[in-house]
Amino acid sequence: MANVKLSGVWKYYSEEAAAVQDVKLSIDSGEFIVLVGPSGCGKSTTLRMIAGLESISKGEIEINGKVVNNVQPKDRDIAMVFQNYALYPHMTVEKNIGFALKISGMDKNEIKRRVLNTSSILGLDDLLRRKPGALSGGQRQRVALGRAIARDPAVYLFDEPLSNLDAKLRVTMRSELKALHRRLGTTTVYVTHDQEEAMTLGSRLVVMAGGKVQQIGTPLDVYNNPVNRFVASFVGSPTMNFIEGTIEGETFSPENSAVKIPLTAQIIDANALQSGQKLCLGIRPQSVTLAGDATPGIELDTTVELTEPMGDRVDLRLGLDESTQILARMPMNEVPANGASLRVKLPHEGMMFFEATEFGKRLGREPVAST
Amino acid sequence: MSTGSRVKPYLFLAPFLILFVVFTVVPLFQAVPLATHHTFGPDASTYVGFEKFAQAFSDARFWKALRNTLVFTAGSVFIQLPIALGLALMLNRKRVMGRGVFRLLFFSPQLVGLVFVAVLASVMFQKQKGLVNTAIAGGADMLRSIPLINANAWLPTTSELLNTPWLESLAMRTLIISALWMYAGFNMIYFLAALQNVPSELEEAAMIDGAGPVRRFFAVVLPSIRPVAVFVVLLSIIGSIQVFELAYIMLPEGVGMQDSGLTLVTYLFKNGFEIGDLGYATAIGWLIAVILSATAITQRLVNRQEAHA
Repeated sequence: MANVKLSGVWKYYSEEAAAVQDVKLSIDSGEFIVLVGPSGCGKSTTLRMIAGLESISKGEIEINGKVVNNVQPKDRDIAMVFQNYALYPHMTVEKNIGFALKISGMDKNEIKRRVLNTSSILGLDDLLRRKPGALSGGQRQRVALGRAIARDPAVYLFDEPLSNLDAKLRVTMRSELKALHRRLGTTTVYVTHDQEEAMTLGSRLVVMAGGKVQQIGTPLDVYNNPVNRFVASFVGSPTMNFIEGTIEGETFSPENSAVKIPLTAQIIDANALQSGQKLCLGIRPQSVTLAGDATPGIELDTTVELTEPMGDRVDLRLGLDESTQILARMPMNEVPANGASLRVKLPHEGMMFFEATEFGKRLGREPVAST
Repeated sequence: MSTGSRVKPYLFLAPFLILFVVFTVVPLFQAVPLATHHTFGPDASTYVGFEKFAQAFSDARFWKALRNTLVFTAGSVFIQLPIALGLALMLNRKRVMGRGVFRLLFFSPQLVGLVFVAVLASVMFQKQKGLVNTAIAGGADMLRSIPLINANAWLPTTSELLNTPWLESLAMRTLIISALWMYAGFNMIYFLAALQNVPSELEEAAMIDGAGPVRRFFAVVLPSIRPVAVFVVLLSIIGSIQVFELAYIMLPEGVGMQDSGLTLVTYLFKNGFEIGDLGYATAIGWLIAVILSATAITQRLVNRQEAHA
């Protein structure tokens, strides 16, 4: 078990193009950290720098208090699981799992013991003599995990390990990974582009975009208190509704729309909004409710444009007018007909305001110190 | 289906099929009786049974040709292919300046063709003025100029070096070196393509698992390119056993002095088209076919065994 510390880590290939910019991250021993973000956000590069597969352009990476910038991957006491598993195709499962142990010069009986122990943890006992070509995707994934587990490293590094599996298997493997981490308690750095995977697995998330860390926090913290519009849009499914517009007195006027959304003095104060300010109103589809209950909020008349019933809930596309729509996810009692009018409530609590740019800062909120 | 559409496919196949039948199938069948005849030119022939095969086994020149051909094959497999693989490995590294230029350079002999390379090589390997001998003699002169090592004591004289009979007496060495020039770049392309298909994660995984460069090569890279390597080895063996043009163009009389560069196919050619004994040439042809088939079958057996292991 080990802690991992990244201090001002940069990766650039040329003066202009920085793949990773100034990442500061302190991972505690035993933590399950998830680096999450869209493709090209620098999460994999960051992981590969921790692994030693990419050089570090600037900054320092420490594993267990020791700077590893110039330490070979094999001497960092890490194990990595790759997206395409990277199993040695000509070796049996047993040899794949034992390869690193054999190279380290471990005694044969000890290798055997560790391989068997690993295979029983992962349910691979019957597959030990097979080669990767004769395994299913899920089994290969398990072997890749086994290769990491058998080494008993200080840190596990996972690079999108589940993204080659089908949806159902992904969910199963996700809970297995979580159970495994609980059992082994080894420090884990996990990279994924799937925010749902990130939310369910991570003890903390590191949301990245454009090579920069956007926010670090527990899954719920990131979900409930996104620091900027990007984080708000990336985390949570379906995506948060964003309406760009202008504050006019105590109302919010969406762009190109005649609709006025009345705000209260309390909201204006809490979010430090100023009249004439251009900004972006965000509200999660799950926050939108039917009008009529007692929670404080703003009631609006809408038209149902599209319904997507899912059994226990229904996703509704609601038109405020012709140019402004929001998505609402509600528990399903009765599915309204397309074209019907529906009065809904945007609760005060669920409303967030952002500067009107892609990475626009959240307004009225002290930025959380990121460590 | 109408008659037209049933006939059509065969019409499209016809150009190939006609050529194939006329130039491959018919000669193949003709070659069966031909090997059992003594001929003198195309018209005079007498049936001699398997005498022509017996003649080959007791013919010292045939054995010499077989030995030379096997030496050439060994040179291809054990010298040329490792060099081709080495070149491919060098070009496959992440940061190679001018990778495309090197690739083209190594491959370029293929572009100008075998005859051109052979003619150029034969000029280079000539006595006195040939590039190879003058370069060696020049190198030797440089050694001689170094005091202390007393190069004169163990180096041949300049005139001996300039007269090294590459094409005459050292024919097999010359052919192996020339073939290296001709084919190493070609085989390198196969190896390079295979290497580029090895997922980089495999090597990275091995790196994290603690394997050094040598171990990574033998434990991960080589097994991954094995199917291509086996294919290239087989192609090289088959091509080498059939070596003819290179020797025929480069060597005096196509064989060098005292048959030093006589190969199986050259011997077949000499018997069939210079002496006129088509029967004997055909018998040698069949023996070559047997060697080639045995090679291919061995390769298949080895492959199958490993697939089951």
